[in-house]
Amino acid sequence: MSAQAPPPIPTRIAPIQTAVDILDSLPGGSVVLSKVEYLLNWSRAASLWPLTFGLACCAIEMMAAWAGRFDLDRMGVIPRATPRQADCMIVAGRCTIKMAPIVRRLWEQMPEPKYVISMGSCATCGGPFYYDNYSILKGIDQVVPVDVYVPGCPPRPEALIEGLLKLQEKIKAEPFLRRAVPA
Amino acid sequence: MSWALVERLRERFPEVEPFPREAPHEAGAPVGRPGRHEARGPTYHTPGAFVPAARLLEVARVLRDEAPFGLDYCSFVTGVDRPEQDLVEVVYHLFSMDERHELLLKVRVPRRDPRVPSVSALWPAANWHEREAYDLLGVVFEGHPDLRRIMMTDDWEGHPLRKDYVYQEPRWLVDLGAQRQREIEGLRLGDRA
Amino acid sequence: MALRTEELMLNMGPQHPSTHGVLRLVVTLDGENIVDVVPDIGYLHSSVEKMMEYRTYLQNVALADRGMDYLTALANEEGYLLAVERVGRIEVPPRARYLRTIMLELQRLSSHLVWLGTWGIDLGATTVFLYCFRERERILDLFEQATGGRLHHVYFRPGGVYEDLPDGWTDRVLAFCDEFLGRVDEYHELLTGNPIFLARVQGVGVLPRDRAIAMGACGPVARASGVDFDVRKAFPYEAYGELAFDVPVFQEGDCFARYRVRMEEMRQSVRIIQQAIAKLPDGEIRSKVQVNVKLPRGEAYARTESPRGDLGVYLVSEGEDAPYRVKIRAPSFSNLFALTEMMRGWKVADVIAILGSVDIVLSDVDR
Repeated sequence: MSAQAPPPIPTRIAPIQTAVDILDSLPGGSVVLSKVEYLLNWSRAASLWPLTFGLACCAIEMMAAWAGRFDLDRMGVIPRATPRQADCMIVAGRCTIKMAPIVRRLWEQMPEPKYVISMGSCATCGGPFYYDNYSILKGIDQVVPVDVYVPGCPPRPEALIEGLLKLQEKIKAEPFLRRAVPA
Repeated sequence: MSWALVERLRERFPEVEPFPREAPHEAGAPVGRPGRHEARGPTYHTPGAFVPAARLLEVARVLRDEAPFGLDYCSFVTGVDRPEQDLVEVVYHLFSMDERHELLLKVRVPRRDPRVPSVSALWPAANWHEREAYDLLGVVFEGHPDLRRIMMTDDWEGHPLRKDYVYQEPRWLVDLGAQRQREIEGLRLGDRA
Repeated sequence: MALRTEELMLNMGPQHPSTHGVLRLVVTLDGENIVDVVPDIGYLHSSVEKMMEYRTYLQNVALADRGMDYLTALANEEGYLLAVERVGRIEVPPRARYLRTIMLELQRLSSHLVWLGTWGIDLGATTVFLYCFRERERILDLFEQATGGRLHHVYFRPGGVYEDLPDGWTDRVLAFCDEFLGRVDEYHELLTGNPIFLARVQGVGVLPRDRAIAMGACGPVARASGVDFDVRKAFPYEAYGELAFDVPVFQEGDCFARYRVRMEEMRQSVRIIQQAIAKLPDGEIRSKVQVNVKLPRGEAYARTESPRGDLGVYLVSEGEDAPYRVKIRAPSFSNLFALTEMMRGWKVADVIAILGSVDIVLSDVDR
């Protein structure tokens, strides 16, 4: 506190401006104004922790995206092995009908808000395994809602990074505090 | 080397029928040209023999244990579905780690009720391969310790590698799809769905 | 008063970070000790064998990349095409045989690097993963220059390869080989002398020789148990008969032996690549084969040494432009069956170490 008396508080100014004046007059004090929602979305987008649901070939490219050259960690994307700690789920690779209930269950185990990235053609639509096939699920969007589709067979790590950036954009634009929460 | 082995097997078991030998490759023969070979019978590039199902265990035991054979390694067991002949051919590939010779065995069984004795007691490695052949082709291996589906779910209907198999989406997947549709419409997942 | 004990069933997978895919293990435990392990597979069964019956021989090359072992796409192509070329009696020109050999050995390096990296993570050594993927990216760059793909190449064709090498590619490969030998030493320094690593792998998960053969183990797993068998030596295909290399064999049969087999194989692969580049002949890269080739009636079983072991393809042709039946004899499938034998009697903490040392790829197991 400085030795001077604090300035008189004007009555006609909005209380938020008052708070800013008081804080700014403190030594070292300063204020950044923002919407709470923006702040929340910014922090959520900057620390996406995906559940790595590696199923097939795309899982190898997903691993490569976390390794030295591409280094997804620099975007705050840190792989999680359990759905309980995850914000989004990267389904990488072809999903069989035998595996489909497990994809669904792990998605249900993730806490809200949750997102799904479908990595690769197989997870997106069945890909090269669409025709004459009896065991592959034709797209994981039959069992879980998907936010971002990453095309490719398999997508390069750059493509996965682009997919995560798209998801960040989506999260930042979301009316997070005003959304309808599912029952 | 291995064709000689087939001859030895035939000497031992006269009811064993060796594969027709491949004709020696004529020099400069056209490669992969269509229509030229169709009238001929199949060429067997890997030595082997047809074995009657009733004698399979006996033959297999001799092949594994006795002197010129010593085939101690079972590479795979599978089946070939041949609806036009009303047959399922069960194929075994055997190999000797010491002598480095190999042998294919084929057992022809009727397509409606394909049953062969299990060789998993002789070669434990055959265990899973027999389960796979049972799962995908419906061949029943009698005496197998644990004959259940290995690739598909336990409640799967039909045997997918049969030529007349028709794929049907399982009931629960249809239900799950319908549930997902209801979620999209009813549970207000918003613009995410 | 006697303490009442009972066995505990522990379910591991199918979604588990250390199962290298979608493998489910049902482990029966007595306290910490493993009584029994029942692997449950089929979570990645992609019906490749059925799909191959509906596609032409050329289309199946792309399918062999994806549907089989995805870490060793070129080895799958090789196994499949070897069967096709045997049934169709298709000749491969010498230059194509050498190109295939170089590619196969590069693929072996990249596959073993993924194994070493992920096994390192399983055992708590994350640095190994970063080191291995650093070198692997170099190999993938080389692949990309020559074939256009990182993981799935579709580079081999019936009767040869798709394209000749780009300019200066062999020099870049040789430069990489020289550097890579130093990197292998680096891995050795990092792991082989590390007492924590040794405590977790040495003497663990022993598979004796006779059981290895009976359970159908193949490849590095069998060679770590004293089975001196490598398809490249026993039934040479492509250019392997003309190149000098050693097959590392160890007698111990434990996780450490499997580790040492693969580490030594990486050195030998470098040796094969260097020789093959030195001997690389000029000439045609592809014999004249129709795009929509029809094979004569016949059947053949072709076996190759994929990085995981003895990969065989049993092909039945009925004179059509598509195979009548393809059976893929997957090395991981057999090795995974041998896993039950290795795990019995060890502690629950060894499950991951043993599983990682077998180096299974679930896409290869389930196909």
